[in-house]
Amino acid sequence: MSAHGHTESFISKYIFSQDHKTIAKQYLITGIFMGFVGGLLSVIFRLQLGWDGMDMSFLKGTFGNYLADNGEAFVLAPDKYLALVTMHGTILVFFVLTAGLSGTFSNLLIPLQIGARDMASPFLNMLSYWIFFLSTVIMLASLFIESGPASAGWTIYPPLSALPKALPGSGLGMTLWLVSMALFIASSLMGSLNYISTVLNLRTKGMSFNKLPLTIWGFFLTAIVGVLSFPVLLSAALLLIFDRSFGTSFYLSDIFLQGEALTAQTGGSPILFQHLFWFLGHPEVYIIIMPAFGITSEVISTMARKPIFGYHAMVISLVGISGLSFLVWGHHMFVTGMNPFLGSVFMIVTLIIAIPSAVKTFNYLATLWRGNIQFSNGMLFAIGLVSLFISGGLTGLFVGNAAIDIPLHNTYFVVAHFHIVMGASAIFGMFSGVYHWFPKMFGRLMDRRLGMWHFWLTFITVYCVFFPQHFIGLAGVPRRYYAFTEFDFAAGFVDLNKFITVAAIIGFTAQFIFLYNFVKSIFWGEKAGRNPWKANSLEWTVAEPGHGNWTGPIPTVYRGPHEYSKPGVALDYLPQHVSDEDLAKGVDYDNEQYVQAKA
Amino acid sequence: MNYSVDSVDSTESPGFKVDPVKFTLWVFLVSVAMLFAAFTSGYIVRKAKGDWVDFDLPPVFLYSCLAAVMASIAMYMAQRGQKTVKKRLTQIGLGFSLAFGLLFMYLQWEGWRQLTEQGIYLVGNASGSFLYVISGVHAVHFIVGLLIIVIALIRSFILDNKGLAQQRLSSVATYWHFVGVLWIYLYLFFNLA
Ligand code: HEM
Ligand SMILES: [Cu+2]
Repeated sequence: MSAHGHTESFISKYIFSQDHKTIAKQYLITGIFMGFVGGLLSVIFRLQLGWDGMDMSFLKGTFGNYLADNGEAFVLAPDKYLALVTMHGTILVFFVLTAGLSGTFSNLLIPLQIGARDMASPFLNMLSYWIFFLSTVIMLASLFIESGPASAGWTIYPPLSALPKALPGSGLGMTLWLVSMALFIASSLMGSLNYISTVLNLRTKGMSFNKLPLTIWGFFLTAIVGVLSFPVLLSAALLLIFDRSFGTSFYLSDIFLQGEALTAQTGGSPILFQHLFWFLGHPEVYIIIMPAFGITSEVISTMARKPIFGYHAMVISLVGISGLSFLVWGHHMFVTGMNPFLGSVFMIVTLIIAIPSAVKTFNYLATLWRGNIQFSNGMLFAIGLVSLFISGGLTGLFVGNAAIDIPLHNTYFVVAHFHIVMGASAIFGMFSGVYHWFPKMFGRLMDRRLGMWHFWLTFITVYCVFFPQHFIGLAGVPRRYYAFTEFDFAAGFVDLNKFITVAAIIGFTAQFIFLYNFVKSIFWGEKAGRNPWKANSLEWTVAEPGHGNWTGPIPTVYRGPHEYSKPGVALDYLPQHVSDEDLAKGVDYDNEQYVQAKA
Repeated sequence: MNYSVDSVDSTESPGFKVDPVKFTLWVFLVSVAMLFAAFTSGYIVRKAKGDWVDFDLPPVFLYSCLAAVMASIAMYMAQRGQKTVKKRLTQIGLGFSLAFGLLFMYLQWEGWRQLTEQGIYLVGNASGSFLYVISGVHAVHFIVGLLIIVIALIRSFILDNKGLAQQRLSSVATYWHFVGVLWIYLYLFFNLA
């Protein structure tokens, strides 16, 4: 099979494609779709939070079983509120920010930036996408079943998840959740195996580890963390399946309801589940943010026309974060009755993680400092990430401290913390990547004005939605409650909740600007040319990539990826494939002919 | 000249000189190891909570350790056969790997049967449930190994010497040793933890 001058069928080219670039687009489009689904679910439950008891008859057609008739109106059923929260979290954490983000950019950029023709195993790569697709279909299908989808929260704590009788969604919905996630884990493992061996084995000549773009470092370490932590989630899920379906008592113990034993199981430990879950769960949050970090690093350096400040410090921070992320899971469990000494160990390690995180943010700021900043859409979102990560990281220091976390645990404070530091930050990283590499994916630029609108509306509404939640949490309002109107201590927040809901709806609506821009630009966007941002890394040496990427030999790498505005060099960028000799000869590497001769 | 995906040659990527298939297998095994690390740490956490019934492991599980060792030795013979281009030796080695592998599975089965005679079932105290689930998930991995060996054995009859030399026997062997050692670890764990 040769890359050029041979015809592939529609199916092998667009559907069961083994080309990493096509697979990246498949992940992206699936991820965007899931993002809209997850966002829509949150709009529905936000409406309930803003206007308790609101009439939701508009759900009747598709989601009639989510409604309850309270005599006056068709309101969202309380158990379906939990279902929506669960599916919102699951979809955004796993399907959008894990698979959508890593799947898109690891696939697109690893081969292109390290100088490889494809992944180590293109076949495994294709399989990874299609298994992911299947898991998506199953997860979505569970939204439509009569008893409703899983409702135990994205963390699926037992007993809600283990007792099929606990909630309507604990039955078939939970089973589908587990099946879908088992497939998801398999898919993510296949993807990660590929990313790791590609980065280690297929780098082009000269591409040593200290010349890797920070994107690649982010993807590579993410894949390693994934390979080490997802199997632990699998073990947790397997034991849960045994408890649910076969009657074992790993997690379930004697539960009595009105004097009647609900289960035959005795002696299980729900805390065991939390340990296993958070051993994945905490690394998972870094699985989400590290690719976003990688993207931001490259975008900020390129668009500030400056070398990234402290390349090595950035790499060491990523490595440190990856390692430490395995040692801090207990900070999600301070209130489980853990030995206070153990709690303080987890606390210290947790606060140590703040150091590499801070190093990264300071380095971003130092890179921006006095840069020749070009506010492309990608750059705006990258700066947005830095802002959000600082805001959310600071509250990490609060909840990371056991004494402060004990009253704050399970309140809206935590919701605010992780939505800002992870949810919104990583989404911003993803948008930054989409705007920045759209020209490499589709050969065209996205519309800049629409991108500005998208950025500002999203940025403002994200803060409007999540910042006030800190105060709600500090007042002790718990998360995952259906309504607060009945409680005196929370009733003061009724208006604030309405404000948040309105902001959330505006923010969600703003995403349609992005969608419109995305679709429109694929067909009618301004032609981008080979290297629209005048960037240094190897993907920009490829003109119109076919399968196999370079039509000639793969370029050799002579320098690091961030040589922007180098003193003594006429142009403000110096690509990785330009050798010192060529530079001394004064070749014009901006020129199309030069690139073609090299590639 | 035309470049294409499958013309990837090592001069284009002088990176890290390991066979990518073999390397991918190693990373995969690391993740399997994490799965069992999770199971066994879960075991410890659950045991520490109390409400835990101790029981003696049937001695057959020790014999299955021996069977796993023998199966690994046989696999080593098969690899020698491949290196020294002795087709017979490869076939004998693979044949014995398969035989000891089947013996291993029989012994596991026997062990589970004896456990039920002691009144220990999958459903009951978590100590027994853990044993069944962990050894069961191990057995699934072991059976995958058996299937791979069956394929390698069949191919050893079909292929000529040149084809045989290209078989990825060393990857098969890596997996096979891994599932063997994994069982020995689990056996020691159940006895000591
Ligand atoms: C500056 C360092 C950080 C510290 C010290 C920290 C600390 C914590 C602590 C102690 C909790 C548990 C709060 C509770 O449930 O009571 C927590 C929750 C959480 N954190 Fe962080 N965090 C930090 C950064 C991050 C980052 C970078 C992410 C993601 C990219 C993240 C994502 C989350 C998530 C998702 C949760 C909540 C999960 C849930 O209960 O549903 N955190 N954080
Ligand atoms: Cu955490």
